[in-house]
Amino acid sequence: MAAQTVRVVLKAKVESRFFRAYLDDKRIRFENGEASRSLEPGGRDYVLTWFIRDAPGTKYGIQIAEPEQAKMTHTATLDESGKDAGIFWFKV
Amino acid sequence: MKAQRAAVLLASLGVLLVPAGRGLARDSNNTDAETRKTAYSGIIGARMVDPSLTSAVSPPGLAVLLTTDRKDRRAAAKIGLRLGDDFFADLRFSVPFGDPQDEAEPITLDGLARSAAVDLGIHYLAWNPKLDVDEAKAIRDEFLVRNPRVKNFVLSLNGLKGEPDLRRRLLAAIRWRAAFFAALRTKVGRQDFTYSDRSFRSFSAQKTNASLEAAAGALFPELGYIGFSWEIQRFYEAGEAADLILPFQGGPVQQVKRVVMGPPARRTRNRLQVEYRSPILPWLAVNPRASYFPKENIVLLELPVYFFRSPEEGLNGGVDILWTSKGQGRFGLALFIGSAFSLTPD
Repeated sequence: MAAQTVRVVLKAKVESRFFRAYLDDKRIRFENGEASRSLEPGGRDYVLTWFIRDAPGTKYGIQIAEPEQAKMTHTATLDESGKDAGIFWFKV
Repeated sequence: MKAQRAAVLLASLGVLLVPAGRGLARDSNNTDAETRKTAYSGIIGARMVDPSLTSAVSPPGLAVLLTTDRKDRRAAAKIGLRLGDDFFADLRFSVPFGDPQDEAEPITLDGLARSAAVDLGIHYLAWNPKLDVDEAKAIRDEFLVRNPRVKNFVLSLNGLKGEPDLRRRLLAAIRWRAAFFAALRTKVGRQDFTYSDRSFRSFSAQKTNASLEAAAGALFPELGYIGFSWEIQRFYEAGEAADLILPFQGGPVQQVKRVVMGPPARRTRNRLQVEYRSPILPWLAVNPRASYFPKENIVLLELPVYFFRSPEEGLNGGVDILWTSKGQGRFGLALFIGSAFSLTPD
């Protein structure tokens, strides 16, 4: 019997070519700003990481839209360093 | 690249750039410019980072460039598309509207500068940064101890501005790694010529010019971008012009008439180029380039310096100082205004 999974929907709004997002070290490839994964529920933490380098003032955002218990939204504008990176732990 | 040079050589420059794209967090007081940007959402990029529309590696974007240099007048437009996470393509159109048979050769030795041209580029980018998750978890825990009221915390560099020591720790936990680029460009253009034969009969001809360019480079986290390119051009060059004194309508009056004697000649040219890009200060960035034309044994040095700054886009213009070894040596100076300086030639 196949293990039950939970569909996780991720969204990104970013134009920079220097943007990367990973879920547990696996690259997330966004299609039209959206990607999804089927994850096994349980006690473990999943790790979402992202990186961006671009001109100061560049705006970007990343979001977990589903499921409800993992929802998050992160938006930022790059400061004069031209860099940002982040990490978010979640359970499903 | 070449447009910063071609933009204006000690002459006036007129540039119209239309950046377009989408943003995430919009201010409540959106301007018309912001509205225009969002109109292109999903199709093209957020901004233009190649004021000259000539870089070998280009981002998604839509732009129109208009220069008014007396000897190198042209209009250009570009559209770029993201073909996947790592592949990009762009298409450029340029139309010269100066004298196509002007004898003055562009200082950049671009054989296609006087062609109405279509230019297609495909680019690839590889980049794989990493974050030390265990160290990040320790930083998060430390932050939550200091800020016990914070819920649903997202750890990010931007979010740690109020905790500079933790921000430094997080920055140290990130391995940005080098990013690698590759690009291939091909350009095809048509150029009109008018010339006379030995019996002073006038002829018109249209010739096809073409070029192929391969480029590659790497962006190193602490050093900046260094790139190489090789371009081969095949183009036609007008014959030499001469001032002839001819009788006017068979009468006693004479006229001076400037004619090009003989048909255009086909030429090939190779160019090897190395370039470097780096911000020096928040208000200053440089993009030095050195080109070598082996067939003619000519060197071209260019030094674009970015120091014009817009509040929204950052560094978006400056001056380009040029020198070529051709002849006795020749200097040029160009002004360029576009959008933001980028670490890569996009």
